[in-house]
Amino acid sequence: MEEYDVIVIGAGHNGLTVAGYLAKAGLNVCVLERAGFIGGEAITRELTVPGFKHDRSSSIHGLIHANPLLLNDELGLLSKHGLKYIFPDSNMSYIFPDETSMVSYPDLDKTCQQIAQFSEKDADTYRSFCEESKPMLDMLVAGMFNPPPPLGEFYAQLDRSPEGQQILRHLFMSGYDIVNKLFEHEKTKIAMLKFMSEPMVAPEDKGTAFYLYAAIPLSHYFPHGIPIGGSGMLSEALGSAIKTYGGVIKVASEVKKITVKGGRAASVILASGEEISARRAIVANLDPRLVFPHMISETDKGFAARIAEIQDPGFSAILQHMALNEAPKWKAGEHIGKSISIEPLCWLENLRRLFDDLRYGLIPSPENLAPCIFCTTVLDPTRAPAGKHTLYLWHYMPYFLKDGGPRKWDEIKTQVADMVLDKMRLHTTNMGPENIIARTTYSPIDYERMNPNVVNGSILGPGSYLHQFFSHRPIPELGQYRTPVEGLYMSGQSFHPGGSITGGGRATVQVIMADLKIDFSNVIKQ
Amino acid sequence: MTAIDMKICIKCTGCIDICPESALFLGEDAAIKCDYEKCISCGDCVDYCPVNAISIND
Repeated sequence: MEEYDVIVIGAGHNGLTVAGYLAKAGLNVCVLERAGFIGGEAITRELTVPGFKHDRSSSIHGLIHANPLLLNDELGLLSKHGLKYIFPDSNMSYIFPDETSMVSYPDLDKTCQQIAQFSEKDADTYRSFCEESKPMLDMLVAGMFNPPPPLGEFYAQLDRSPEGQQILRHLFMSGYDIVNKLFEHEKTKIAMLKFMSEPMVAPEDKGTAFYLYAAIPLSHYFPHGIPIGGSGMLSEALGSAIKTYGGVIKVASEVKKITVKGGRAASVILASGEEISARRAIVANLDPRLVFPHMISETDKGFAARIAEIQDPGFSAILQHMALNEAPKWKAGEHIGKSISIEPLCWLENLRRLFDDLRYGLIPSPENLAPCIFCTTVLDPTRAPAGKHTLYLWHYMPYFLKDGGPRKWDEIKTQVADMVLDKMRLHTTNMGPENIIARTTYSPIDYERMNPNVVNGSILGPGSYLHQFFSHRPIPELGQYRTPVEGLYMSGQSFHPGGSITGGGRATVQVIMADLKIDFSNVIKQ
Repeated sequence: MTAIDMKICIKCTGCIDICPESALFLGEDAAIKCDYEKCISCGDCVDYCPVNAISIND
């Protein structure tokens, strides 16, 4: 039987990050991946026609730039493994229904000037909001790539100062409550609410104001970037680092079972029947609902019940990839196209109704649409044949449709995709059929079919709710990456710091190394 | 003969990499194609396809 020190199940970017640090520490590591390629949903592939490379799911890399994995290049991804980022001048362009626009730049002054087009007061408020959030942000960022603090301690720390108490009060409110209180102009409110909903939260849900505090000021301190060649270049760099440190990656190797011997996670059994054993640890980089009880049944009933309580986000999304003859021409101005993300919005009441539609399992009405659009080839032409472009047209959608459930998507996918494309057409002049070479659409249920780890279409993992936060993500018993089975650890988007491209595996690996008596601080110094 | 039903296929493209013989590819017409010179009818793509769009016929 093949044997390794550590087996990592799932080659998403978090699993690869865990494997990278463990391999660097000198452990004999094996990563097992079900798909025929590594990266999970941090992958870039030809999805429409040959020559056009699309980021299948994740595209913009934000939080990871605050992670010492890249800040200090701890695994040599930037210096030795070919990972290179482009940091565009503008993060986001919001287009309002009247074709006015607001651009969000990494530069706070420039962003405030954009807001001041509509309201000087809002520009001043925005500036002070970003500056006043900085201390909490520093605390959050420091904790994001390390094992999570106990949830209660985080609250207790905030509760020790008047400023902290104010933030604490706000955290339990909804993003909408705060935006409405802080800002006066409808356009500022719409842009802020759309931005803060990105972790797949409805802005009127209580406890979502956290994302207003975290996401918006953070975009000024850690600019968003895109890897040259595509999001998948991060995964490729991690794969290259693992191999350089002596690790092994096996694709097309689906794990069916984890065996437990003498109370310890001992080996894995692949779909082929092959058994591979782990001397020191097994790390499942998966949603825990795929592990318990499907891969491992040796847990008590209470634990199984708590796993079943994990709550999904309120909605999923529909994604259209297109191969284009030319980049979209925006009515709101040429400068719009230079942002990483372009977001044609609806009016405030419509935006509120959008999240109501999602809550009730309805397809949003055309007037309530607010898509997210990336044309990354404007910034990185290496992803398409010369002069041609790729397009990523994304929109929140319910996974469970009121009429027909998730499977109903197979009937209505194209019709809904067309409606979202029509919204984009309202704001562009060249998105007719003659510009579209090919299109591939993924519905919420397709996301899950492509990658079973996207349980119930939850693109960023279990819902980003306060009760599934920090050491309580996704349930308190798994919040420190340990499981009821000795030697079995968990990582990935279901755990702190959560979904999206974060390199969060750096936090997981510190717990594993502590248990294996490996000094993490020494490993990162090397 | 490996047949891909493009009416069912969602173009996740996972079959392309799972194929041990690199027989599957994305065609210029935007469809997933099979190179029958390479295909050994092992069925790995059939097992992997999440929407049962691939079949092997004699």
